[in-house]
Amino acid sequence: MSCELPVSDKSVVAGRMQTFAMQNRIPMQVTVEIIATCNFDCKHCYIAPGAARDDIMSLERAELLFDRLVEAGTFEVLLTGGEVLSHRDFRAIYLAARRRGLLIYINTNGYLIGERWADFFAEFRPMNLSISLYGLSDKRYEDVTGIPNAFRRIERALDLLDARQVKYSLKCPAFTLTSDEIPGMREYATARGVRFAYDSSIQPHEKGGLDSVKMQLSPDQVMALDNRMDPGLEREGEFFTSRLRPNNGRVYKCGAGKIGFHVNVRGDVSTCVTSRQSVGNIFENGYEFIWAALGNKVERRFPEGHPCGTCNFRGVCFGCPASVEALTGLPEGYVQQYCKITHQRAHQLGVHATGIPRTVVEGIPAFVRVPSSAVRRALPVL
Amino acid sequence: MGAGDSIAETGHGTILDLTQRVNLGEFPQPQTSGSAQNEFRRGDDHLHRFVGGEHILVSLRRAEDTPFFALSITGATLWDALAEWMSLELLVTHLQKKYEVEEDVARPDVEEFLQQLSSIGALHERPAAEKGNEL
Repeated sequence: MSCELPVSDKSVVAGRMQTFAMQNRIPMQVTVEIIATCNFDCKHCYIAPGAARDDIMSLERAELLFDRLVEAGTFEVLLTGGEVLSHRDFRAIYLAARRRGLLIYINTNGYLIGERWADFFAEFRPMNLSISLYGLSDKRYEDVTGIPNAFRRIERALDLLDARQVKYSLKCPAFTLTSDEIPGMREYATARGVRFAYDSSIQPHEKGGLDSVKMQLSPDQVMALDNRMDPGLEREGEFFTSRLRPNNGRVYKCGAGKIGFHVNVRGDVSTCVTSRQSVGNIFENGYEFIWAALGNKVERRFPEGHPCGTCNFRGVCFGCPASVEALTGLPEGYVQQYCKITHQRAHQLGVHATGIPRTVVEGIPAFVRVPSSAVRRALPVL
Repeated sequence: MGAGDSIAETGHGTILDLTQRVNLGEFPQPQTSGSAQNEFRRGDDHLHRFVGGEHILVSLRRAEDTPFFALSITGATLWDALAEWMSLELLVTHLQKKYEVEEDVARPDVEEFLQQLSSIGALHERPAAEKGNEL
């Protein structure tokens, strides 16, 4: 018998928790959108352009939500927006979550971080501040966000966080206005000693606008960027090949709706932060209802004859169910654009002969939901 | 926030990587007096949660670098008992009753656990004379 705090292997306990949560379907990780509006006016954003001024989660509702999440077994919460630091009750919401024993992660653009926020985060450290980087100059920032002199403010914010040893990472959405600076951004992050990530998937506006989609990179541009960032796709290759396995026909391969979900400012619940299709409202319908509804949703299987139903690249597909849902309306829809990127990656890694999806040759079955003609026109040319 | 703000930041899904979150490092030197005459009570800067099938001690402290600690089930039992002022003897007895173990097995574990709690600042200690205690 031992009462000691186990220290043998730091990852063992965390791994056990993850496995337990998967096996028992416990929502360990939840993203909470506490504000939909933003101080930036980003060209690619899918949330803020459609947000109303009152799209804000109140402190009272946030506390109610956190209580429910704790009861449900949630351990990690990502506070996201909009721009969370522009929420007038952010501090109270953040501290309310911490008091309940939740581990807090934060998405922010960093623009509002001055001495006071830096001091606050030094005093009440989050697990991580995930800061969006949109360029390496004021000019580029203004092109993307519409805000002048923003990069110098971001740099100051990072300096303030560095001086206080507050943990943060940098990330950037890769699209037509940012992709050329992505390699430089990684160097910038490396010089600061922090992690950098980019994502080439751009979503349509929450309320249907397609301006953002028009700025998505074409498959060739995605491949070119991936190869600049990871010559020969060496690192990607490890991930890719490790997740190649026979397809069991399930639409969802990730933990969405199994060990986590997303709550927006109104309490509407979706599978993850990328998905904007609500299965119910946690305040109105209750937790049991929404968790059951999510369970039903993520148990979906591809219908017979669906091109994704037998594809062995499902676990590494560029188009996750949420991003496909955003373009087609259904998580089991089909976006040939994404399929082509995935097959090009597979081809370069030597696990697909041609790099050309079967649907290019054979066509897409008529029953499969594809992007509307308007969306197809917005997407970059295949 | 815009596209690319996924929780995983990898572009490969939405599962957070939980590895390396338990960051205990080396324990500082124990700070308990070791006196059998003293009483102990858990501090207010840590919260015990049973989450993901594990007993976890979450740090609520302001500038805490270590976000959480894992407890064994017996550690969790002792933590719960430490809601009240408890002497070493009472804790040992509590553990013996709960798990039907001999004193020579329970005592060293309780002592070590108290020292570890003390080293992370999760334990209050006072002379037993200040106030009586009870199970």
